[in-house]
Parts: sequence; structure tokens; C-alpha cells
Amino acid sequence: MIGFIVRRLIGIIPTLFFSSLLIYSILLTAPGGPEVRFAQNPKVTTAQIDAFRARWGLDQPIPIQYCRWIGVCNTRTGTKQLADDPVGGLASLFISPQGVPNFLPSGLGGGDNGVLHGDFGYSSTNGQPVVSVIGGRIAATAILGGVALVVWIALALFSGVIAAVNRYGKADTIITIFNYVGFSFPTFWLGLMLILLFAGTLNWLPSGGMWDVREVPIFGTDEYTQLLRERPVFVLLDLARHLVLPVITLVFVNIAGDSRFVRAAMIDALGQDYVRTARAKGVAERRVIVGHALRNALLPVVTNVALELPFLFTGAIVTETIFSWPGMGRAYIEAVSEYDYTVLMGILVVTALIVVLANLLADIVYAIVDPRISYG
Amino acid sequence: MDERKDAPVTPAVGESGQDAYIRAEVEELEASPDYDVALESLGQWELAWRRFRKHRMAIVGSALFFTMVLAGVVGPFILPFDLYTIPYPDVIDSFGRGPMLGHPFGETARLQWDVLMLVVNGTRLSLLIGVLASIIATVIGALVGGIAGYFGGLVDTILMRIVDSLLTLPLLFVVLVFTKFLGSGNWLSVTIIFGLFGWLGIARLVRAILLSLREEDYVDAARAAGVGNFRIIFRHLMPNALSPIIVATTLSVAGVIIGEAFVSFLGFGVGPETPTLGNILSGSQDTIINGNWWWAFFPGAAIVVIVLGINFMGDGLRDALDPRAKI
Repeated sequence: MIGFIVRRLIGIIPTLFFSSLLIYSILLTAPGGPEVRFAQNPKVTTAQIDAFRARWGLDQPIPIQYCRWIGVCNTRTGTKQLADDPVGGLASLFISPQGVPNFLPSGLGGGDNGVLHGDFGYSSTNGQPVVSVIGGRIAATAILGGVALVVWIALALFSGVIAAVNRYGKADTIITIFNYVGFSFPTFWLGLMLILLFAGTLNWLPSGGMWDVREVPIFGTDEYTQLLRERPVFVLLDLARHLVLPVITLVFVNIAGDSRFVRAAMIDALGQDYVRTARAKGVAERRVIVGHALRNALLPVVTNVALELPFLFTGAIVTETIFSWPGMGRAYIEAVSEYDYTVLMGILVVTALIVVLANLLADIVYAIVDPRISYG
Repeated sequence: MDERKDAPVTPAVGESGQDAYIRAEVEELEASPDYDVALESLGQWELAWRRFRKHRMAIVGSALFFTMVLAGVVGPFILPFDLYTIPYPDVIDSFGRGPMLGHPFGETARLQWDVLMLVVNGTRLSLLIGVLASIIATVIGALVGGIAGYFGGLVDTILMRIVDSLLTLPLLFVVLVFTKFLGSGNWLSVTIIFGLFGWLGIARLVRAILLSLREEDYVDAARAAGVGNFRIIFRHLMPNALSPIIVATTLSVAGVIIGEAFVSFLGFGVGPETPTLGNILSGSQDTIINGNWWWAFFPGAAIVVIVLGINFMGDGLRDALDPRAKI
């Protein structure tokens, strides 16, 4: 088992390398570059822009810029030294100040720059480290995604089992139609309609945000934590009220595929011999369905859910925008509209990592829950 | 059939027992649905069409879809309003007017465009973007998947490694960046961007099919006859993979329409001078909380109708094109 996991971990290294190359090339398509925001400012001289480019290494060839961003090259050497001594100069790029290869962890004497060392640079709009920009947002996304995931799995299992047990019956038809319609809804439009109905017309729920700005301090601050400790019920209820609409939006659109999947897996399991044996022995139908069929139907479902974990982040882009939820998805939209390269790259790297790890998790979980799978 | 055999066949006058038995058998065979098929020796497409016609949801879906196509194609020409004249140049209404006679879908806030006019124009462009982008994606996907699946080995490993890496980046994230940075509001460039990033699924599908097909005897036969690799891929193998490709392409149209709508809704996709079902909605979020529901409702409902139609159609196609399926 350990060997299996290690092999899979080694296998994701080339994938992640290609992804990082892709992410870097995607951002190269942006017009202008990070100095573009100075172009409109008449007080900034060309010399100052050149100094800015030199300060952040933007005058270097693109492979070297990439190499520094990823953390394999150090940030010391300038172009002049490279020109003087091409061979020694190039090699010195890969050696950390401590004299060992730069990509090693800083604890072992490697460098401290680049993605490999957890350094994603600074946001080009507000100068904050990218890590803290993302870190501040990831909790909000995790709360929304986590709650949605629980509701989503519960509903998918429930509706899938009901549909499978009443195959071609009324309940099955209704659930099937519901799934088709849900599947065809654009997420953002569903969000708008929910806001219109529940926040506008009925005025039951807030139309957006994560907390009531009049009553509760900003999420993530010390004041918020303090209020959470003093009046937990009040703060959590407030959070729950703000969660309802975004969670409905995320779940309604995404549940269809899983519900169908559970249905198919259940129909498959219900046709197996052990189900007939159980029934013949006089086991109660409820127990046959939950204890015998569902247990076996869960195998493919678990894998499928692990593979879908990243969708919570993609889905977050849409829901967080509509409901002004202060998470990663909205940070991404803001970064795109403000040409904030470093934040964009940071979020893309984190997402790619989550996708790859989710795939790995799916494989491992499958190997654990299904004893027939060999780790070969 | 077994019941009939067991039942005694009553011979007609002057008919031997054997003749009577044969007559009964022939009558029964003629009555079976397969008989017509064999008689006319229908091609696979005619068979598929017969199965499709019997699929109730597929027919409903096609009706929905083609109604929207008709609305998009004909609508802009028969409506008395167009995109190039501002309806009330002197008035700026911050709320708009609801559905009424003459404007069944109401008017938008601010410039007070007729929503029905926007919806039919948007439908036309959204459908065009969806179909074009899906065709681009299918061509690239078939090419990459075909080469990877047929040659296998190192070529396959490298191509699939690239596909896997692209799949680690959610499509929407990537498309957003490109439409913002390179799309510049032009619908054609947005279409191409969706096409250039939408081929991953189809490539995987084609690869998987070709990996199994390339072991077939007719491939060996073609190779022995000296047929070139690319001719084998595209003339001998691809036709056998056509059915799943058609289904995947159909379903991808729906995906592109929703994706484009979202990107344009955010203001990063197609510009407002060429309305799509998404960018019509982009102004509506500010007024929706005041109760202006018609601006957001109708364009979104048009998306749902189109996408639902396509999904039903795709499902019908999947069943109809499956050669193992009975009529």
C-alpha cells in the first residue's frame, strides 16, 4: 500500500511540472506585463519602469523568470554576470547561497524563493504576499464548499437510492426530470433567481456576503473570533443564513450527475446474487437496501466524489461572484480584472495541486474500500 | 413466439399440416419489427433515426432546441426593434418596464432595450458560439485522441500527459484569463478560445475507443494492404468511433453555451455590442434586488430551454446510435 502511494506521488510530479509550465505560459499571454499599470501614470519615467523591471527580474529571459518563480533558480544573478561567464554564470543560477542546489528545502540549505518554497511573490495590486491573500480567502471557500459537499452527498445518495429502488416508477421519473432540469441550469442564473425570490420578493434571506456587516465584524479578524467565542449561536446562525442560498445554488446544479451515478450503481448492486440471497433469507427490505446493496454501491460513488472535489472550487467562482462570498473564486475574478498576475498564478497552482491530490485520493480510497483491487 | 409454437396450428381447407405450420411461422416473422428492417435493409443511419423517433424525450428535446434555433435565425428579422437604435434616446429609466403588450418580455433598466429583441439576438449568437466552438474542439480532440490511441506507446504517453496537465486547471479558470486578456470582447475570438480548450474530453474518448479498435482484424488487413497510418485512423477507425463522438459534441454545445454565458455575464467574454444570452444578463444583477425580474429571467430561461433541449437530444442520440440497441 505504501509503495502504491509512493509510486502515485512520484507519478504526479511530471503532471505538476507541465501544469506549472502551462500556468506560466497562460499568464504570459497577458498584455503589457506587471509594469502595465504604470503606463497611465505621467509621473513615472521610463527609467523608473526599467528600474522596476530590473528590481523584479522582469528583464531576464523568460526561462530564467520561470525557473526563479518555480524556485529551482535563485534570484541573485543579474544578466551582466551571465554574459561575462556563460557556463559558470548559468550554473550558479541553480545553486543556493548556501552552496547546495536551490530547489532543496531551505532547511537543507536550499533557496527560499519560488513556488517550491511556498513563496508565490507579492500581489501587484496591493503588495500583500500572495500566500496571505490566498490564505485569507481559502477558509471562506472551504466553509461554503464543505457545507455544500455534505448536503450534496447526502441528497445524491438519498435521491439515487430512492430512484433505483423505484426504478421506472413515479419517484424515479420525478427525480430523473429534476436531475435533467438541474443539470441544464446555468449556476449564475439560478443564483440570480434565488436572490430575486428569497432576498428580493420574500425578503427572508440576505442577498449576499458572508456575515451581517451591521452586527458582525469582518470574517477572519480577531474581533470575529472573539465574538464567535462570546456569542457562538448568534454568529453561527448569521453564517448559516448567509450560507443557504449559495449552498442551494451549488448543490442544485451539481447533484444531477452524482444522483444518476448512485442510481446506476444501486441498480447494479440490487441485481446481484447476494441481494437475492439476503431477500431469500428473509432479511427486511430496508436492511437489504441499506446494509447490503448500498454498501456495495458506495464503492464507485466514493471514488466519483473524490474526483469531484475540485469542482467545489470551480463552482465557487460562480457562486462566490453572485453572492459576494469572500472566497478564492472571487479573489480569482478580482485578480483577472485587475491583471494581478502573481495572485492569479498562486490560485492556479493551488487549484492544480488540489485537483492532482483529489485524483490521488480517489485512487487510494478506491484501493482501500475495495479489497478486490490490488495495488500492483 | 414459444406460445405460438405450442399452440396447435389449424390447417386451412386443402392445406397440409406442414404448410400450415410454415404459414404460421412466416406470418409471425413478418409481424415482428425486425422484418421490415431486414426487407428494406436499412443503413445504420436509418436505423438510428428510427430509434431516435421512438425516444420521446429526444423528440421533445429536439423540438425545444430547434424552436430556439428558429427564434434565433428568424426572430431578429421580424421584430420591429433592432440593436442599432436606442429606443428612448431622451429618457434614462433606472428601473425599466415589465412585460406588457408590444413588449412581452419587458424592457431593461437604463437604456430600456426590448428584452425579447435582446433574447432572440442573444440566442442566435450563443448558438453560433456553442456550435462553432464544439466543432473546433471535436476536430482537435479527434486528431489528438486518434493519434494517441492509434500509435500508443510513447506518443500516447506524452499526449495524455499534456491532457492530464491541462485537466488539472479548471477550464473556466483558464478560459476566463484568455477571454479577458486576448478575447477583447470579440465573439469570434471568444469562440476560438472555447474551442481551443474544450477538446480534452473528446480526445480522451477517441483515444479510449481507438485503443480497443486498433487491435481489430480489419486494421491489420488495411496495414497489410499498405494503407498509410493516417488513412487507417481517419478512414477506417474514426467512422467506427463516430457515434460516441457525435453524442459528445452535441453535449459539448450545451457546455459551451453555459460557459460563454457565465464568462460574458462577468464582463470578460463577448462585448455588449454583440448580445449573447450571457452578456445581456450582466447589467441585470444591480436591478434584480428592486424587483426587476424580467431582465434576468427571460435570457436565463432561454439558456435553460436550449441546454435542456440539447441534453435530451444527446441522450436520445446516445441510445439511437448504439448498434446493440433494439428498435
